[in-house]
Amino acid sequence: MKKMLVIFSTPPYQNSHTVEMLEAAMVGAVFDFQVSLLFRDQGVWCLQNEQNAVSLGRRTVGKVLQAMPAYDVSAIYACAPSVNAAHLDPSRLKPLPQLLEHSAQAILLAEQHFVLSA
Amino acid sequence: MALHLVYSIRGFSACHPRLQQEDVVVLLADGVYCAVNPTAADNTQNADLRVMTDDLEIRGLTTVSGKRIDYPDLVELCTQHTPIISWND
Amino acid sequence: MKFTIAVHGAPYGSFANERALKFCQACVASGHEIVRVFFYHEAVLSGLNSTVPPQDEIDVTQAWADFADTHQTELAVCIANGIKRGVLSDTEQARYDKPSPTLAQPFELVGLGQLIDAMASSDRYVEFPA
Repeated sequence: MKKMLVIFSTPPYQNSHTVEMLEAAMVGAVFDFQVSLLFRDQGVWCLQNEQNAVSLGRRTVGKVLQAMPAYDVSAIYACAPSVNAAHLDPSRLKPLPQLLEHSAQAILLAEQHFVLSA
Repeated sequence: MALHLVYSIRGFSACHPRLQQEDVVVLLADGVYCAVNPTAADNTQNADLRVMTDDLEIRGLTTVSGKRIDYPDLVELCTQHTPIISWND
Repeated sequence: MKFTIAVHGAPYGSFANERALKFCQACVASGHEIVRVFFYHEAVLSGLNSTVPPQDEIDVTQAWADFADTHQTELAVCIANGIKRGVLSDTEQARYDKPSPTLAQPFELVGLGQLIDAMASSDRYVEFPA
């Protein structure tokens, strides 16, 4: 089974790339890739609870993300130093990510066949 | 081991702490400025660096650290490494 | 070796296309196979038939078309990303009742499954960001 990691490094409403890359992740999972997501740097804001993009006229990134486990995208990681730097409470992130230090992220990267970046 | 394609100085800062021992870093596009400005990316000496000659010449840069490569070299590096990761912060 | 190439950056808004073209040329010159070039995000605009670049600059769409013609490479524009940005094949133009098709030859509008399918049969995936 091929392993595919999608990395998110921009805040969720900077552009439409976050949602577009989440769609790629979903299709990867449908095609039986082992898909995981990594949120790093400003990308950790994608995991902020209670987003609502109705006034933007766009899909809410947080809601799209919460549908990920239903598509068998179950491995969701966040960069621990980035979460700290953003002063986010890790227990309130949604979906709840597994926090990884830099060295653990290096290992995660090395395990992949394909890495996509939003 | 992984091949890291670094597109900017900020991209290098993001890539560097997530490197493994045997990984190779290619500086391309505005990432080549990392090779001329040691204060912009002072960790460059710890990484196995390659710099795209094409991007240096486009930007009028001559004196740089790191081994210079061209597109065929980049393709060759891609065949030797997996995964290939782009850093475009 | 088999490669899947993804282009993410807009033509003229970035140099992703120029870089990807140089990479693809070096790739085939070294005897490798490009399974598919997949245009995503703003790179779908590379498949527009209505762009008029300045005379002293590269015509990105034509350069891709020439490359595809020479090497029989599939140029795949993501349909979901494409149609919302105005890249319409004959079929999509008729479906949405728009004035004219805008997809350049030999680009094709395809689903995301075609990206994953290409990756599944490739040894390497290389992405060209904005």
